[in-house]
Amino acid sequence: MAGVSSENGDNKLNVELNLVPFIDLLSSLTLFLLVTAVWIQVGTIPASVEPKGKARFSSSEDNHLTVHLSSGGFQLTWPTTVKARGSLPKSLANSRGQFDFLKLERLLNLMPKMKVMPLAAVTSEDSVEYGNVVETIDAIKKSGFTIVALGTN
Amino acid sequence: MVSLSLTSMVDMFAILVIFLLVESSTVSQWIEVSHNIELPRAGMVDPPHQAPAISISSEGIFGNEKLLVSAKDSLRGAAEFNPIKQFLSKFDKREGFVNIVAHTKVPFGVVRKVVNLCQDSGFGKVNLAVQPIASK
Repeated sequence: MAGVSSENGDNKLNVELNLVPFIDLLSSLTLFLLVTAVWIQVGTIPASVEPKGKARFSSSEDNHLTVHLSSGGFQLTWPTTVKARGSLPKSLANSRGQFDFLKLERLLNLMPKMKVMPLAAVTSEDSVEYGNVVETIDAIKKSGFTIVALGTN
Repeated sequence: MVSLSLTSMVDMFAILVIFLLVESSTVSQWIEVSHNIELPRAGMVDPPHQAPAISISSEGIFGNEKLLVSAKDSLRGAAEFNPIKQFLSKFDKREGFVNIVAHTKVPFGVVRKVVNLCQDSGFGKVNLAVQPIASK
């Protein structure tokens, strides 16, 4: 309810503003936004597997890098035709019982990618934790391999 | 007669609304994370697709909040996973996407069996749900 009045003829404005509808609007908006808010962001990683249980590319190492997870650490295989910078280890043992993903990423950064060997596959023993497999896929992607397949055979 | 000062409350509401407006997103999230599932973390992630979601946790394997395979049966052979095939048969296979929402500590063998089942059911495009982390 707005009103204009002047006191003692001084031409002063005295406006009353009703805040009730404003508070109603704010509380409704707050409730709506609280209900529709997303508190946990979720993303996805494509597993790049083909139907009928076959990986996107053949099981031989002719054209791609393979990283295998076991209880002892990582085992890597790559085509013999690929020339990497320096001599690279074919296995990475666990550090204090944990997989060393940073070391794996640094190792993979030394490998030629895209033109020579653009694909990578990740396989694992059944007893390995799923989170370790996902972090391995992530480490391989961070080192530049764009297509990383999950081996499920 | 008690007079109530509403200034502070209005200030609080305004700040709360501004915060929620800034944090809200126009992109819907198709994946619901429940059953005490802690997602693995990854930096190179894609936005989720709208597709059937299969949740794998220590409590069992769920499809849209319905228990398909109990935790005990999930460690047995593939025959125990038939309810997953029945669940997936209700969905359209044309796009072929399926989202796997698995707890980070679940053995990879269980996830492998579920992924194989999804492929056998015609859902070859398997997406693994993860919690994004900021890239360094």
